[in-house]
This record gives sequence, C-alpha cells and structure tokens, in this order.
Amino acid sequence: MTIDTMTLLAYLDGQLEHEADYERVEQALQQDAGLRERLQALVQQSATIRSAFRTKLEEPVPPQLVAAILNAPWPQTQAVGQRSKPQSAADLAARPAVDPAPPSPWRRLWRHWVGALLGGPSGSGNQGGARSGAGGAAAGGGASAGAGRGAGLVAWAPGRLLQGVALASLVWVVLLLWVWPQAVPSAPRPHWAQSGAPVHDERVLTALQAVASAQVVRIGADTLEVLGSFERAPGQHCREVQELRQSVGAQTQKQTLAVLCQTPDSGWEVAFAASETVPVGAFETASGAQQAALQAFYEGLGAVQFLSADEENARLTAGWQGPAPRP
Amino acid sequence: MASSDPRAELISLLPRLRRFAYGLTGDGHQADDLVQAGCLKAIERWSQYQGGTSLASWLFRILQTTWLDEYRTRQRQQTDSWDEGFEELMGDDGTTLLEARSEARAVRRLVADLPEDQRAVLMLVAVEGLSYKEAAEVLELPLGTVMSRLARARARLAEGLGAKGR
Repeated sequence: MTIDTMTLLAYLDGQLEHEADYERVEQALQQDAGLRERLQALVQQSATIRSAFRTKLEEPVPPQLVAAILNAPWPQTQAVGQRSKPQSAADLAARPAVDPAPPSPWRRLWRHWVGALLGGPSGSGNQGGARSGAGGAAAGGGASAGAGRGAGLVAWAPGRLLQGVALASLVWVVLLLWVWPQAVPSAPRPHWAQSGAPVHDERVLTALQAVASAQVVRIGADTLEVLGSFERAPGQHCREVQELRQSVGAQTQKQTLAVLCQTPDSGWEVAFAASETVPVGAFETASGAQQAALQAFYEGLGAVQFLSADEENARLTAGWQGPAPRP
Repeated sequence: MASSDPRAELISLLPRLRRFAYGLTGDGHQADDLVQAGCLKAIERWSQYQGGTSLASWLFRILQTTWLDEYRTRQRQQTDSWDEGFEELMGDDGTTLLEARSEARAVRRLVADLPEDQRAVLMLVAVEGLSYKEAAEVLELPLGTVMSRLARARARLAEGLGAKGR
C-alpha cells in the first residue's frame, strides 16, 4: 500500500477527513521504514519553515503602522460626518445596545473603560447601559468646554477626564502588550524618575508616538492615558500623560502625571513628572498637589498651546517629525 | 459585527499579518505597505466582514488579493532586498547560531522563489497554522488544490534545502 505525500502531509497536519484514513497511514508507517523517514523529514521541515518566519512575528510592530490604523476613519461614522468631530456621547452609549452581535472581548474592554471614565471620578457604580448614556450626554455637553483646551488653558477641571472622553469622541483600549509578545521586562521600572531621563520603555514610546490623546493604553496591569499634546518649540512636541502602575503584591498603585518631550535624536524624555501613591481600586484623577505642580511647570514654559484633535492627528501621521504646520 | 471598533482588533493581528505579508512579498518594507493597505481596506469594507468568522482569515484574504492586484508587478525589482532588516534582528539574539540563521535565510529565499500560488498556501498552512479548509476559503480554491499545492511547495523546499548541502 502506498501513501502519497499529500496524504502523509495531511496526516501530519491533522487534516485527514476520516478516522479510517488515519488508521491506514498509521498501519503503513508501522510497516514501512521509508515512509517513517519521509514523515520525519516533513516534521523537521515544518519546524524549519515556522522558525524561519518566527522573528517577524516577534519583531516590534512599527509605530507608524499602528498610527495609520488608529487614524483611519471609523467606518460607522463615515456616513454621518467626519470623524474628528466629537461623536455624540449618547451615540457612543447607545451603540452596544443596538448591536445584536455577541460582545467581543474588545468591546467589553471598551465598555469597561468608558464606564470607568464616565463613572470613575465620583466612584459611583452607575455603569449600566442607560445610566452611562446619561453620563455620556453630560460629557457631550462638556465638549465645547473641552475644546477650550486648545486655547492654551492649563486649568484642571475636576471633570477633565469627562472632557477627554468627549473630545476624543471615543476611548478604547489598545493591548499593546499583544503587539510585543516578547514584552521587555528588563525595562527600567521607574522610567520617569527624574527630569531629563530618557524614556526607554518601548510600549510607552509607542503610545507617545502613535496614540491619540484621551485614549487609554493598557500595559499589562498598568494603564497609560495620553491627555494632550503641545509644541514646546518649533519641531519639539510634548505629550502629557497619566500613568497608573500597580505595585507588586501591594494594595497601592503609583500614579504619575508627566510631560514627556521629544529629544533632538527623535526620542522622548521626561520634562515633568509628579508621582503619588494611591490606594488600588477606583480610577483616580491626579491630586491637587500634582495638578498644582504641573500648572507651575506649564507657567514656567510660557504660553502652552495644546494641539486640537486635527492638529494632533496631523502630527501623529507625520510621526511627530518637523514643526507643526501653521495655519 | 458592525459596531466593535475594528481598529483595535486589527492592531492585535498586526504581528501575524506582517509575517504573512513578509512571506508573500519577501520584503520588509513592501510587507508593511501591504499590511497597511490591507488594513485600511478592511476598515473601509468592515460592513462586509461576517461576524463570527475568523477575522484573521478575512484579513489574509484581503492581503492576498491586494498583493495579487497591486503589488505583484513590483516584486521582481525587489528580490535583492529580501533579507534587509532581518539580519539585524537576528543579530540581536546572542543565542542564534550562524547556522540556524543561514538556514532560516535559505528557507525564506526558497519560499520567495516558489510560484505565487504555492507560496500563499504554504504561508497560510505551514506558518499561520490554518486548516486546509480555512486556507481553501481564504484563497477561494477547492480543498484538493490546496493539498496538491502544499505538497508541491514542500517538495520544492525539501529539494532546495537538500541541494544546499545537508
């Protein structure tokens, strides 16, 4: 009885149709040393092929590619209007309810974050669909106030996160960890310990490089939210971020408010950072002390002009290279 | 699946899409161009995506057709750059033996030299781990054609690797 390569391959790949086919191949394998050798060679070759392409899988995804996808128009809103326009928050909240499809893990995360952000600062548990719709409407009302950030104000309203939600029109979570299967555990943990320290953490770098403001990035158990961007000097951009890091085995987390600025060699460095230890649990906004310190930092810089969503998009797409186009 | 944000799902697939595109194009830069073009197409046509089916398969299909339609003609000019960027990456890995490196390179070169139709099947099944049926759906081919192309591709690889003096 002869077994052709196609059948042998299908046997190896577990793709034979019937149990009887497997038995037939196994019988032949028992009797035929040559066939066993052929199978062995195929096994070997499978491993060789896979490993030849493994490095590509483990290679970091270029931030420009992530940025191009993040900045692509959202398909559902194309018909309604351009995407940079803040979507009505009611629309946001309504969407999961209209869709009969089973929720994907992504959508669950998305809901989680919208819920956490909308209901978060007050700590109340109103995160059900209808209630977050109401919260969303309030956030939508804050959109015009939020747009005022573009006019250079640095004031920290308590509802800042709400404004962020409305401004960005959607918040969603990028599991960057997935993008780096070989995540760098060796990255220095307190990566923004002091001013002037370069940012080394690849995942933070990509968030800076590719993620629009008001998006929350999950890095393992930690989160990083980009709050806004501005141009400090022609061609030098800075991004304000808030990070929450869980301390291992502790009931506390470290919350850092920081401003990271571009360096001449296209890296990023810490320009300002204020950290506090806060209890694990509720989604915390920065404390008054942190905000005051940040405000003082901004005053030291002179007039800080935050980029609008459109301006920021243009910078993201350009990879933060070159000075921002002037109107 | 009209309402989940496709972009987040696409981003999570990027490592695999880049690997598949790299196999198709044999060139790192072209692979990334192809992945970007394919992802943007997918976002545009998101309404055509059948929820409940494999998103990866759908994307593989888009990449494959995009490659055939738009990029293939450019490929011939690019054969020299096959290993660009890869050497560096491998070099970072102190444990990688020179031998393994050159074998991996030989395999990628052989894959690049396969006929177009065999290459796609090989990448989908042997590298991406799709079942024959899934690969047949992605490439819109009968199952038997997938099987015979796969067998031919692997025979060619065996030949090529044997000829490299093993």
